[in-house]
Amino acid sequence: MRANATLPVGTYGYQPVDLAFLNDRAAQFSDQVARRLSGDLSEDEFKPLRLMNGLYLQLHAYMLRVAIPYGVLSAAQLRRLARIARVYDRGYGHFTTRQNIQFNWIKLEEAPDILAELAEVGMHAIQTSGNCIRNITSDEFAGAAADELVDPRVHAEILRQWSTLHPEYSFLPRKFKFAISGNPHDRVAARFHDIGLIATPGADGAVGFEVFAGGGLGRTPAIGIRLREWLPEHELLAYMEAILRVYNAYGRRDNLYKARLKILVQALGREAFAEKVEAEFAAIPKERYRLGPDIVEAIRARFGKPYLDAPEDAPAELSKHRRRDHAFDLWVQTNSHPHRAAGYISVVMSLKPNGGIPGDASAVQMDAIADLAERFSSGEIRVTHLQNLVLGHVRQDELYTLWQALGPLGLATPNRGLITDIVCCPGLDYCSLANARSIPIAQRINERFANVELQQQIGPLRINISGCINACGHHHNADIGILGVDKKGEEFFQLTFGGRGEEDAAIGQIIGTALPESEAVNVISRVIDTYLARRVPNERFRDTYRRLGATFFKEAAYAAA
Amino acid sequence: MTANRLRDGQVVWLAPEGRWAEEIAAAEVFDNGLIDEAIARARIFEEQRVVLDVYGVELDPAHSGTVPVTERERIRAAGPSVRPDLGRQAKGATVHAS
Amino acid sequence: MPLLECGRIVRDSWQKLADDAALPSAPCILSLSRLQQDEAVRTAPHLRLGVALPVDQPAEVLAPYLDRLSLVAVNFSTFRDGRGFTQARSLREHLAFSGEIRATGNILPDQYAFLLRCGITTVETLDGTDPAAWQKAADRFSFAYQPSVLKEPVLSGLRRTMRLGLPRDTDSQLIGN
Repeated sequence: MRANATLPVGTYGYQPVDLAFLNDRAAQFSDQVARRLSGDLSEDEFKPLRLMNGLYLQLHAYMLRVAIPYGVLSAAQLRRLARIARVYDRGYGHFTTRQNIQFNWIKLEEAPDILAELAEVGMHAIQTSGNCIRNITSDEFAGAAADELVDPRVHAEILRQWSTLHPEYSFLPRKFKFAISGNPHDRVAARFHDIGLIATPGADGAVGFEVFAGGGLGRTPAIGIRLREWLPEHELLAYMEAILRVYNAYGRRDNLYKARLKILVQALGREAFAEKVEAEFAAIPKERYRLGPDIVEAIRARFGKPYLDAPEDAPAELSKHRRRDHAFDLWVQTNSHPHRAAGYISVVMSLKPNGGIPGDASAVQMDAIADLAERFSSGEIRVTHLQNLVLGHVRQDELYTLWQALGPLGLATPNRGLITDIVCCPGLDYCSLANARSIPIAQRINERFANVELQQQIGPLRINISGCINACGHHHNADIGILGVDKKGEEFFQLTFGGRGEEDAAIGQIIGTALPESEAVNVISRVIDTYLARRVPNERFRDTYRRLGATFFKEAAYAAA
Repeated sequence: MTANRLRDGQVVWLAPEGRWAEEIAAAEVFDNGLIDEAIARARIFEEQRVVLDVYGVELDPAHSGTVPVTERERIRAAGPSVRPDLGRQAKGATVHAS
Repeated sequence: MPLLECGRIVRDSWQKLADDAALPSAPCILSLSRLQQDEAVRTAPHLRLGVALPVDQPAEVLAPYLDRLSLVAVNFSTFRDGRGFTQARSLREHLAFSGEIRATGNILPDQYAFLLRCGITTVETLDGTDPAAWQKAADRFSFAYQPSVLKEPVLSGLRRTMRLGLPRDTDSQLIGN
């Protein structure tokens, strides 16, 4: 039962005019593919056009990256993704750290048909690659979390629309990534994006944004600088135009590895960069780019609201089941998040089962999740930047039934935020850029720490793995980062420690040489043993690491390596 | 010599008589001294929009068959090492990632 | 080279002037350095002037000369280098330049709507270009999700009805030399 059956919950409900736009886009790509196949377009000309429709050429075939704006899907959309996995791919998809989904076995000739199928359900692959503004990521508990100040998804949608086929910023020096959160606890790594926005309420219900720019991971990790403490909502688009215009004009184009905004910020210095942005902003005709409350409200009105009306005894029901079933209690403890509404709860469905491939979901799982979302969570599903899925609005008295349904689907692993909740790029098993495989080492670590009690004992700890320096697995901002490198044809792994993605952002440090897979796993084991032996009660890994220092852990972990 | 087929992205290997085969076992093997010239000749298939990104793959001298020396090329020839049910390996191709 | 304006091939009345060439009487496009240094050319009566804006210069370098300029050419050394879009938009938006902005270099028909929405009015194309392909590309979308210098009417929300100033009838092309 839903409050408004015509609108999807938690995401923007496309109007006929928006759907027509997506159809035009699919038809445009169909023409471009035909021009490529007939020879009218060379590969050099075609490549940027296909990338701006999410189509890469990878190791085994073309790969299609479909946008999941701010990570929210309706049940109908997830079913469509399942259908695409079955009909056009090999029965599965891979959820990414940018809240998108990738299909690995796509045929160029069929890509336009897939885009047309996506358009039917208000989905697309627009700007999921290429040197343009990419998918806008957001908080996986947006609109549900008890600790949230502003639901950032309306503004994420505004930014999505504004950046779509932007005439000036479709051929930037390099890709450009936005993240937006409305929570003082930064779950989107805002400081590691080209632009990171934290929405905060001001006086009289107004909304403003803390603006960070020039952050990023990749080859040269950088923490974004704060440009504005509080940018008023009506100036949001004008200010974004100013940042993008400075970047488009001055960003380096002579060296692929020095073309991101972070390098421009470093080259100019934070003051000079901020001055340029403010000068551009001062010159911009504000009225033209004004984001009026009428526009915000019109877009907000296209978001369906969840049906929230739990019976009074819902929390008591949940407690009862938790007392009776230890496994369920453990899962609730690790995989749930408090909801703002009484009697509700958000839950994480782990895509990191023991022996699995982090972030992969089969078409069967996707269909089943769509059904469960309709039954238990107002038909809404979220994708997290840690490659899991979330049901945001579950009645506490129905959680036990949901959990029982998730188990047989392999979706009830109680490891959210624990050592086996590993973030991992596809690596050399799929990706043409990778230097090393990243999935097998994730699986080895998962096996090593498979014991649920041990994971609980270790507590919150993030391991991120990237198969190359491009850092799609975000290895820089994890407690333990793993970077795959190629040493004379052999796969080696460089470990970093002490990275953090949240409001106390930090880049992980290298404390030893790159190691072969099994030795790298052994070093991680010794680091964990050291932590367990030396922590004070309730101290998280990151705090122990900070307290005892890198040198201490290096001596303990690399001593025998 | 390998490439990806333009229309479907499939990994292919240049076999005798200018045929692009899906199995590395069918690939024509060139001596090191002749590979550059062979690649230059094979560029015609890019111009004809048959394949993309033609390049030569070094074979492992320790093996008698067509086994590439790098992990990357073994994975391309066989399929993802973490999904033995997918790719050419699922159809009985004999190249396996280590 | 054929010049595309409003979706049609038109006669190009401009010539590029080498830095050491004598002053012509016909409209000419100068380099930025000649424009800056050659006062005689700037003050020549009744001579229509244009300038080729280097891709690494901000449009603002033209501010002192804009009232003397009828044309600014922005260059795309490759279609992937989007700096010309920002130069054109700055000319329109910050400097209120109302003359011709010409795109030169390597450009795809697929970019035509972007060019027009940033304020570019003419495009130097390759010999044998089919204007219908450009028209088709530009006509692909009926609206856009952001404002542009064309000051298109609001359709609803962020949407603007695209008014690119292109003729609907592609059969009546004016073919120039």
